[in-house]
Amino acid sequence: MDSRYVRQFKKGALEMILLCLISKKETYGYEIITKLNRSAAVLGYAREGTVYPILYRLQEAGLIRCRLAPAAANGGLKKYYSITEQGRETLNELTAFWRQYTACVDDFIGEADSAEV
Amino acid sequence: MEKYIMQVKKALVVSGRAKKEVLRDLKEIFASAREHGESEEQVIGRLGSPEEFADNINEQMGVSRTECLRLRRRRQITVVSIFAVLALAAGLLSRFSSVPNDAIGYSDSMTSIKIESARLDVPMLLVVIGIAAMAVAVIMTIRYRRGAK
Repeated sequence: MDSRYVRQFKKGALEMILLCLISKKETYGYEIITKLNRSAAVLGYAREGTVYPILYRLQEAGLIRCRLAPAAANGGLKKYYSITEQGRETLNELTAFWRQYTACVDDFIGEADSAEV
Repeated sequence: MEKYIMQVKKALVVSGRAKKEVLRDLKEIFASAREHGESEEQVIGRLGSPEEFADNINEQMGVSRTECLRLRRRRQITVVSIFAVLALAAGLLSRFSSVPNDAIGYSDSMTSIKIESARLDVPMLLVVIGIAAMAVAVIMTIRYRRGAK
């Protein structure tokens, strides 16, 4: 299922999903992709090409911050993302809205379902 | 991988700082994937074409292509203007500073005047170059203004 409508749902929610992931604990690019891909069955495969641009925008908006630190495995630098105070506030607002929103949409779906019967 | 990164670099239309960051992150993407046993081909397959990858980023954080061209034009005009002013200033200054020499030369023999005149060519040339550069700058500015409308 990959219609235009579904793609738009995914696109809209991805920013919130990323904020959730980053708010849980400081994380880096590859870990984010791996975690997202555990839900690939529903969300579809996460690609850096989609995730990074959103990370840049969240960072620009001051919702997340990053720091460079040496990676344990290869000695190279890794970028670690963490949520800012402002990001946490925004996430709370978004979550609250999302709950209301899904409940509201569910109501409509319920009405449509009962009309069908 | 190097080729891929170069192509992304070319296709990015973002500020210099942002570009540096994107390219650094891209290197990390490849390094992390390698660490987890992914091949470069696998990563590139997931990233999509360099243009696609760059366009995604341009869309999110970049200035539009026309905006980028305008910025580049403006930079060119500044460079030409500065060059014009410098050339003119250098030319005029050495002209004026050569006046006392001229006065001495005037009362002196013919040979001194000859050297003087050979030297005078350089400031004259600078003045001419300066005026030409200024004219170019003016034309560029007019074109830029017209393009902005």
